[in-house]
Amino acid sequence: MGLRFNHFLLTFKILAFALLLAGGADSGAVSAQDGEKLFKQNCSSCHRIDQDMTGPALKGTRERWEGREDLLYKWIQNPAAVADMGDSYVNSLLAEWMPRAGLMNAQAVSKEEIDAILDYVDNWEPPVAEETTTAQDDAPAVGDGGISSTWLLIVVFILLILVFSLWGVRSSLKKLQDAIAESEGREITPEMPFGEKAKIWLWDNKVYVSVFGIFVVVYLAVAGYDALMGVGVYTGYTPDQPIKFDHSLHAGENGVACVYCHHSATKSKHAGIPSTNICMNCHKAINQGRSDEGTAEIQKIYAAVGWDPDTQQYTGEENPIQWVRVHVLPDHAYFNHAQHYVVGEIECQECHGQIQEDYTVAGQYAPLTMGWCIDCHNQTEVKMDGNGYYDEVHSRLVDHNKEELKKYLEDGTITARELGGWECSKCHY
Amino acid sequence: MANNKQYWVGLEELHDTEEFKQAKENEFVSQPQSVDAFVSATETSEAAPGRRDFLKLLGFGVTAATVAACETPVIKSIPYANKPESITPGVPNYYASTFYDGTDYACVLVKTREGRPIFIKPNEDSGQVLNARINSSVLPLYDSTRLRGPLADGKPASWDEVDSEIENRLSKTDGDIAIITGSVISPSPRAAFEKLAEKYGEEKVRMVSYDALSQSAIRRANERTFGKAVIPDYDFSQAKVIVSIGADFLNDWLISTQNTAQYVSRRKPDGDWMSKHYQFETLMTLTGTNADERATIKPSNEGRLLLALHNKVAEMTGGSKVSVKTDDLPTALIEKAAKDLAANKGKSLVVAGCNDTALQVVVNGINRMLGNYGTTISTNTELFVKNGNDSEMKKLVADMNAGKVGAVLIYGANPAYNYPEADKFKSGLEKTGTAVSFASWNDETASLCGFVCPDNHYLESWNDYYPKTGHYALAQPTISPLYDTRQAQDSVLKWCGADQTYNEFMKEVWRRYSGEMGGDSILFEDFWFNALRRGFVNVDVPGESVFGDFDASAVASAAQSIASRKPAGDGFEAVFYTKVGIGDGAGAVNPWLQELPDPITKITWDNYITMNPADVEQYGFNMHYGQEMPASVAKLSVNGKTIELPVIAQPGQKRGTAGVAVGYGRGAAGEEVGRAAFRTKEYGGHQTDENGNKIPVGVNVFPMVSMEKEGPVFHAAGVTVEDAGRTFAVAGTQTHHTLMGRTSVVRETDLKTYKTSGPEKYNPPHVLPIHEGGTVINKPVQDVDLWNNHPVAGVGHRWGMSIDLSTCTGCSACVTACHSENNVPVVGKDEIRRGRDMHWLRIDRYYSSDMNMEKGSDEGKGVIATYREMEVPQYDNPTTVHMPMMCQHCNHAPCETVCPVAATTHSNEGLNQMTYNRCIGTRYCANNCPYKVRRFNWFNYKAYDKFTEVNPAQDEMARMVLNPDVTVRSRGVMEKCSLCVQRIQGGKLDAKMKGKPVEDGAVKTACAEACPTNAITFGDLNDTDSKVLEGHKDDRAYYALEEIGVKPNISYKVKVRNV
Repeated sequence: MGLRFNHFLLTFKILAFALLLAGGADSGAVSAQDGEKLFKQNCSSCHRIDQDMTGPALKGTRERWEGREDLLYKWIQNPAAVADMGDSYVNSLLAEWMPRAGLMNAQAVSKEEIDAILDYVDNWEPPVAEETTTAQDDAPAVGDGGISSTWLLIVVFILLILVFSLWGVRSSLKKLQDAIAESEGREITPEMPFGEKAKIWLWDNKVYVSVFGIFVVVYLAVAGYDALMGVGVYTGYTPDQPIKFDHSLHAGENGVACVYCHHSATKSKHAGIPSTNICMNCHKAINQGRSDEGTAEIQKIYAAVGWDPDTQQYTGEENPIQWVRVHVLPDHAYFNHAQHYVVGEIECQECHGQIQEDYTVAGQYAPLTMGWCIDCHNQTEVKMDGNGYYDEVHSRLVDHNKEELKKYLEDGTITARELGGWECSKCHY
Repeated sequence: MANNKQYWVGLEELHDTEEFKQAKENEFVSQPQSVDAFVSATETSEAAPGRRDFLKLLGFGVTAATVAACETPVIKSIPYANKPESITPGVPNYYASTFYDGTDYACVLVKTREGRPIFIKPNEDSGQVLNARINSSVLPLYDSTRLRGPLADGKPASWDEVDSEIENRLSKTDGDIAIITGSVISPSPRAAFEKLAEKYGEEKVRMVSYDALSQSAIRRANERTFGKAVIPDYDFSQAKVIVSIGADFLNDWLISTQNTAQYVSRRKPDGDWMSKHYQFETLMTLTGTNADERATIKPSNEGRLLLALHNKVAEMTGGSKVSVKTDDLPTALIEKAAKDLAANKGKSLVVAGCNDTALQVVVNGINRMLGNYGTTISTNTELFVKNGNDSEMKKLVADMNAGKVGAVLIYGANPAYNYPEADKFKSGLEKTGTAVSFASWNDETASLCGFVCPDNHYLESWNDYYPKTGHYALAQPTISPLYDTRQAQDSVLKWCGADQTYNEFMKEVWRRYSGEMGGDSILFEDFWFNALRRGFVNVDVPGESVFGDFDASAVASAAQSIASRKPAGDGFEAVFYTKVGIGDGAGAVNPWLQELPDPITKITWDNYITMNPADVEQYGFNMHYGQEMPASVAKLSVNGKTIELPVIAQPGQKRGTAGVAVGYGRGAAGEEVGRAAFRTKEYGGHQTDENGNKIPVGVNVFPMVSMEKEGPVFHAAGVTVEDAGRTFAVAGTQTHHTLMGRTSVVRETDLKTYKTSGPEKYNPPHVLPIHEGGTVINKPVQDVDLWNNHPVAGVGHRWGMSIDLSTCTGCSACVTACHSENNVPVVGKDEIRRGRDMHWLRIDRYYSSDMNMEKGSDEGKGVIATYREMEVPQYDNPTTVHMPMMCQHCNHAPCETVCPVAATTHSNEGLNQMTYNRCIGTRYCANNCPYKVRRFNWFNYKAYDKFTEVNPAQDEMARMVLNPDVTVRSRGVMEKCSLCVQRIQGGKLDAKMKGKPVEDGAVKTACAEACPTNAITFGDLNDTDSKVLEGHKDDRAYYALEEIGVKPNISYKVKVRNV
């Protein structure tokens, strides 16, 4: 799978490169499909398509700027220059938005790219339909999961009634038998204590009992082992956090890139919890949530960073947010986000789950056990292409052609393990 | 045979006594204390449950605790509210700064993580290097015993109170206001003090500097010979012949780090030429161990030796001679040195360490005859360090005693501790109305001052330095002040009524001088920014001479005065020297430096009296010390002052002399000077005397330094040594001093052999006799192998190291750098004494012995007797070699094969990796290591009470110095040099992110980075262009203990002496 995917990537890269060579500055190089990507890269931190955010909603831009198309390009590429030109529409825009958000930053996009973005904006449809279908699809899936607990309870109840009535029948029969015996003048055999009876029964059925006993012991051992292995593993740990930050809103719906906030993942071992000033990049302007609760949560950011929304000033009184840490690796294990995200090109979701859909604040998705680490190291192919470091390492591997190492190259891929990703000192020092 | 013998437990059973019967019946006595009683004293129970119930309860308790511990621990994670742009958590930042403490000076780079300085490395752009004292200087920053705010009359006070009171007193005082400092080489602080003079009256305020380790004689000598009290810049890199008379220039003479870098640049046998170094000295100094030719003299003979050298040089160069008695001097070596000097006129250098003006005048005379001025001694570059003026200080102390001084401000000095006439100073201080100290600790002097206004640590401070002509340096804060301290200059400016911060003031001073420094005032901000970023500014030095005209008569009269001195006679003499770790006493507060083995004696945590082994024998003192073998204590008396210290036999020291290091005995009257300065008890806590005062480590010998007319002299005659009749345990890391004739540990040769013959002569390969095809043949050891090779050669990376024994001076900067980088625990004296030191990197020091196998058999000695004698180093003048020793990362590592749990394994990059979390502590690996470099965590050093006073990891503040990329090891695991694997991984990641191969030199281990002489080269042996591969392929390269076939990744280069 990894191999095929890689080939696909390679093919794509070669194609893209060929296109670039052939097309040069040809407008065909920017397709409408790129519009979404460009929108997310350049615009989405301040603009939404259907709603005002830091900047105005982009839906209908073309209509609003009708007759000023050239000015629109200039405006996006260099707003400061256009602001001085005194165009009436621009002036009205400035009057409305300058006090709220300040002047837009100049965007490094070409005319073709602007067209692509605007095409995307024009053709954009709100994803309402999708949500309903998902809900419908999900409903029966829940039913399929197994026997529901209500049914289970009813069955248990019936069985219990059955057991009790049988017990009653048995004791009545016994009483009857005793009464008959008494009337016939036979000596009543005294009731053996339950323990004695059980012993005799067990002894009589010792083969079955032993086999069953062994099963029980093995089962308990396995269950115990599993339980012990689970000590310190906090998969699914989702503590309450001081702010009910919603990943599905920010990363999911609004499509803010993970590394926009967790930017240190690109250069450090820590992905880091974003500092409040990063929140303020957007929330300086967005001071309303979708609900009152949301608005209240945004107020918490202001309290933390020391922002007075009334005067639009920083007060200097900072109260850093005390988040509850979710992912805790033991001190003797070294993990580096940059290595995995930048060099390994691993998607955040591989370890953190579909956080843009599933989680509100944060929860632990992966077990973070060593077994989980080395499983991944065993399977994951190292992204060597185009990295001078790996070119050098790879050439050393090939040039020397050692017998022991040939096996690494047999399957055409080199995994992290084959480059030493299973060695102790790669993570423990 | 029937086995019907009866065995008795004892006589009681045999005789079957009553007691025995009773005891037999009651074999399983119930617990005297029931579990119920154990659990709850009030609850009574009828039947006393026994051990089983206790165990049940225990079992339940443990399970309950375990289950409880399964709860997710709630850890708070608090990001910045407003993150500074330059800080990314997890990525280190480096800031250029400068270290100066009166003894050492260097431009440094400070590594900070999450805003905390954690490592000091050299600022390579500046070309300056570090020593152990400088790279350890990050630790005292976090010392929790530093003052946490100002004191007034010994009690905590607020800055406002202190400020108003001091201002009030300064303006009201009738007497003089004196500022006592160490050598100040900083323009801005000087300007700040001058502002004080402006405010309180020029005639009243005076600034007096003195140096604890005074070298003022050099200035005075230049005043006499050249008419100007300056110290010129010496250039050891231009000198083909270096003659040092008692100058330990690699350790404490002028700017020792500069000397080291220059000296070593010409100690490479592969260079165009290799300098020849003669050393005449009393003790075995670090510089002496590196000399090519060495002779020992008594300190009182230094003058006559200089005259003899002067005469010989004069003879050869046509100068005038002075008559002097030379019969008890090493005349042969003097003549040899003189010949070499005369043959290298203008390319030689004579230096002397003695703080005696007449001697330094003669040194000037010799250098002048040799034409060294303008070549090895700069005529236009001046050194501003060691600018203390001993006579002014003497006058001040007299004035203080006379009651003429109304106020003293003490900055960067600790006269109550290290001024030789400390008693006079203290009595003067009592008569001084107002005393203000800027000390960081409530130390010997500060505790006598009415006000203590603690200065920031240098890593929290702004500062500028001007140590020599044409070189300006800046220090900038790398962390906000940890405590409520304030930079001394800010205090001074405040008392001057200035409303400027010191930072602004300093910028103003720089703006004024920026023209001189190659900047201009219009673009000053740019100039300032660049200067701060680089940490220093170098400008061209003007050509004009800093000297006046040479006055030959000064030399003649100095020579006369020396020749006419009364000989000191045969009596014992003493030398007070500077230790590599402790320096002038500032290092005593630093546990890394206390634990640093002295490069010569290898003793930690103490000062002691060194004596020649022959003298030790004669006095009947213990020749050896060890775990269960304490050293004898001697009483040493000079001028009516007596100290008692253990005696150590020091080969290579002049007979009839005693050496004692200064800098110890800090906090002798119970002052708080840092926890490492005091002796600890065997199970933790400090030792205290009958008054409840903590007992300092070692004894302060500054009071024994004699204050002569012109300044302090660090040697004394008329010394008596007596047996104190007791012993004292000392802790050393090496008690075996010779190589016992082994040729595979250290290899050395002389320059002539090296230049004229091939490696088979000075670096012969090891051969093994092998049976092959029925005959015995000799095979080179590398061709014989029991195991398969690891597939690391030529594949991927293979990290290795090359260590040049020719350039290693033994300075030990690598040891402290390793401490700081790898969170190596400090274990304290008691553990070191038990041989449980934790240093990942040690420097083995070996002396030559008079005996060898050939000589032994010639003299008809038995083999055992011969070996026994080979263990004894030569008493009077052994040659010495320093050998850094750390994990050799063997490709056939003996440790790996014996680990039962595979906790130590080989990586595909050639590293011998140690996995702490796998280690179960069998210690088999350490037993099997031929290099003895593995260290076992006998205790939980980061928590056990025994180490509270010594291990920084136990100090709530000092643990901030720990490197967050390296695990702090716990009890029961083995550890050892990892070749700084965290740096390797970091370097590889850096390369991967840039998409380029790892550049040679981009990854450096802490030791290689700290090495002032580049003796340690680290790199990738699979990189065909790497320096380390070059080192491994060199003709001089050999592997330690190569014959055992472990194939190390660390190679050494044969030491070459220029003899």
